[in-house]
Amino acid sequence: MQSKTSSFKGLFSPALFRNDLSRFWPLWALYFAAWLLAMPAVQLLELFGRNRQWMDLATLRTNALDEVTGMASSGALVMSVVFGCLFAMALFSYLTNARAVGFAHALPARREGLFLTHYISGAAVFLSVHAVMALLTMAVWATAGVREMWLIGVWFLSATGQMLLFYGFAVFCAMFAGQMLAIPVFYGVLNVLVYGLTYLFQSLCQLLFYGWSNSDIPMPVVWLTPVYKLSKIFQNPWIYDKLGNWSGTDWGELYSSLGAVGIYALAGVALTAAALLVYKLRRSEATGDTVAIGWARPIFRYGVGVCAALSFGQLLYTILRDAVGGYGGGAASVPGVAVCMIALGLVGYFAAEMLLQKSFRVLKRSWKGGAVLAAVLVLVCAGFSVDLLGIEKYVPEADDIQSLDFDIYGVNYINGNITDPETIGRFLALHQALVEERPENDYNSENSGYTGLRLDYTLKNGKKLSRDYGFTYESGEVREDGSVLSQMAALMSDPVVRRADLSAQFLNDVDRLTAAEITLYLAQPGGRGQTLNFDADTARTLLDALEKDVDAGHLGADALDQDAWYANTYSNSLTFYYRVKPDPAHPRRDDSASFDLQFSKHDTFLLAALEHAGVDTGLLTTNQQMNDSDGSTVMAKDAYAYTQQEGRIPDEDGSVENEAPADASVGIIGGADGPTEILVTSQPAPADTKEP
Amino acid sequence: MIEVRDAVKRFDGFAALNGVTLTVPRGAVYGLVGPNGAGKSTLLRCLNGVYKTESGTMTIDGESVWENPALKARVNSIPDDWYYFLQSSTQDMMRLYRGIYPKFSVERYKKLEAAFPIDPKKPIRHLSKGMQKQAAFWLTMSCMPEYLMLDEPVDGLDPVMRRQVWSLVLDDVAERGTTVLVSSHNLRELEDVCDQVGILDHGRVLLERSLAQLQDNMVKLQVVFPDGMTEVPPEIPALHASKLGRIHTLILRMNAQNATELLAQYNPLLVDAVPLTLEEIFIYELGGADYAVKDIVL
Repeated sequence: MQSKTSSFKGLFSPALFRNDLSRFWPLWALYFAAWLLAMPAVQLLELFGRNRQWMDLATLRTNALDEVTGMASSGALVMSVVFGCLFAMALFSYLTNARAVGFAHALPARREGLFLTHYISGAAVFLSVHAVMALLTMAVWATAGVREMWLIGVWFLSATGQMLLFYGFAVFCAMFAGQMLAIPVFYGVLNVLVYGLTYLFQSLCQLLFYGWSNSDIPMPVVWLTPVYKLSKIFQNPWIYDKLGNWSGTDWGELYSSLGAVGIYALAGVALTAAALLVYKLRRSEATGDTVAIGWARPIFRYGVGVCAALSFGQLLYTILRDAVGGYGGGAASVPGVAVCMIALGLVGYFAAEMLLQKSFRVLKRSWKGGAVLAAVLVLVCAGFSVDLLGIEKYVPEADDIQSLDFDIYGVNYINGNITDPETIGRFLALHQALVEERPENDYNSENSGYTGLRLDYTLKNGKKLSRDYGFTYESGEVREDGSVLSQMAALMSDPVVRRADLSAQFLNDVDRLTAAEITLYLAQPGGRGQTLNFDADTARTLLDALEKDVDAGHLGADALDQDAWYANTYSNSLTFYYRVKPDPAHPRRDDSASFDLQFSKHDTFLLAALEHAGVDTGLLTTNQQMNDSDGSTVMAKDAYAYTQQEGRIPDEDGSVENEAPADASVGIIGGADGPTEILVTSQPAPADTKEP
Repeated sequence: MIEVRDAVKRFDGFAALNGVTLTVPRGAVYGLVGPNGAGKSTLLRCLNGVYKTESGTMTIDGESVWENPALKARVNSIPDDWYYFLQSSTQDMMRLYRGIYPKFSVERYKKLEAAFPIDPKKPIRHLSKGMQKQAAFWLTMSCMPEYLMLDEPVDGLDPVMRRQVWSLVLDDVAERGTTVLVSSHNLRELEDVCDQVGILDHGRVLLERSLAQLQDNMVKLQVVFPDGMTEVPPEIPALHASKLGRIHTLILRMNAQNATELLAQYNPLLVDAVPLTLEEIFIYELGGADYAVKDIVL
């Protein structure tokens, strides 16, 4: 009697498949249990647990949708990253054992057959688990009355797509690993390699290039770091009503997230195909080697060297710089950085060589490669030193710029976006002056001020260019004609720049002004303060006056002159209350907002408007006066501080009882069997009517 | 028939197989002998499709072994370090073998249960080394192999079990025409079972002949020369010469008749031809290839 079940059917062996399922059942069970807890069990508790007693179906449904969305994004990501690697390690562990590989490769099967059977074993497990979880969760939802079953389909697609990626990626890594431990190491490192190298390169540029600013991580880098990219999907796909309940779907966000998952799933399939090709190249005798594929060994050797140079080399330099010299700011020493990078690069290179050769005695055989690495690092550092690519001195042409985002920080901070060519030209002139004069950040000097300028150019060709300069200065430099500081100061009171700042801070968000207020700290004897409230029309008048001051160049006139700023700027901030522009996709439960304006004696239009509104501007207190005042103003100062922290309005005596205008009250009338009526007010009840 | 022609296999530049050429006729029991590191296990792994040769050819019944599942389904092997899944019992492994080898015979598996005193449900890792080897034979012989490749097959088996497994193998050869390629250092045992022997050294086959041809091609003579001749004449091409009293023992690469005729011209008082054991052939052949037993004074 001969066996009826026979050998490999094409590229698949049912016997080997069954063997995989039975051998690694604890791992499959763990995966099943993890998803069981994360999906149907959580939904069951959410929809039928204690919450059901005091939440209505709309709230329960919203929570359920939120949780499943979380499982489709971060939940699926964590599961895929962890279990994708574990699955690959289990199913392809035979490649790291000489006896096992001898057994497997002597079986009557092609390499493709072995590979696909093992791969399908893992894929079948996670697909089955996902399908079972989807059905169980659907059953729970159906019982609870949640109808949005398609979201479970979204979860299924997301979890499966992500698993296809990370499982495929781990299998790909396993093809290069001759030792079991190498699989998770390769997998972990390669998952974040592109992002890490970009970060390290930007750090090196920041260390060595004057004015270099780490720009946003480029989109290709984000895409090549799936862990990062996938952590950002399904972030906000739901539309909520004003009570915070689900009311609709942002299909754009949903499709975009699913699209990303789909692309990564295809990448996972492509990686699997690549893994198969590598497997066919892989020699059985490479089992036990750290890197099992011959052509990948130089990549590993030099890759470890370069990564060690970029990471530990920079780290060593900063440690030595701070420990030996005491960092006083300024540019880094290129020779110092080079020495540290070469030293640690060689350590990494020879460590990799030791792993490859499985011997500590590698110097004799591989010193030439080390010399090549050292030479390359010297050349790279030399290139940085002479600014071979002209990065430090590069200032874009005005015609090439589409817009500019600026941040200027000093005594106060402004930022905004401008497209006005003339103003951009003034920023370019300032940029050029900075490049030529190279003012530095000298912590050891006795300079009184510190300022900084960040420029983010958006070029017409779609590229971005960022530069960041920070330096210390003397107040007197602000008044030197043509100096960098005087150019910066002029820009800080420039109407276009100031309007851009106000737009960025609140004007762009304003739908309609609702009120304004100002607190006069020393309005009453004994240092007692008084808060004056203005209606919407007065608030509009004040804002119009402010815009006149902006146009006249009054606002921000002392922005870099610390002494003048203290003497002229008031500590009383004028607060505008407003409603934000509605966003149909994301309606807010509370659409009120406020903006605090600091103004000074230079803002004559605003002061006049305040006088007209009934404010005794003689009672305004400058920062200088505030600092110079005696103990009688303590209460007012405390009230001021409290106002700043809590956004609440102090009473005349400085105490705080009432909430801000956006305050509200909810009353519920009903018996123990549930509310029969819910009342909502937009005004709080007077204090004396509140229940004890 | 197994045919290997000029096969080369290198490991990091070292040629484990350096142009191996050998032929194993169908239905033969071929003994592969050679010193440690000669390339025997490498050759068997190449013939099993585990390693890929860099050049040369390896065919079984005219078909290349590499990535040939149909051919490999007819070939079974028991390597020196037989592999089993850590948590598996013999029965578990049987299920796998049954699913993978199309000719696996459950009937034979059950019959062989009597030959091997192993609990099939006991995890293999809990069996002794010898019993693991028995399990390997049990499963492999149940696959009804047409070609059987054995690397140190009886290592670890007790004398009774050795005889048992050889008996099973030779029965298969006799009844089913199974071709056996066996590598072993136990030359005494190979002598009993092999039809043909190949001696491998430094990745090459020094010679391959039937055992009878080997024994016919080399002779051991015990000679007593007449008075006055204390040494072996230098013109006699002795592979090895030793002396005990007046009796000289000579190993010559020629048949007994030619050797006797050669010595006749010296009028020996006594010439006695003794057949060489495989072990002696191995030692003296390799002695000619610079692998002699060295007289080391400690």
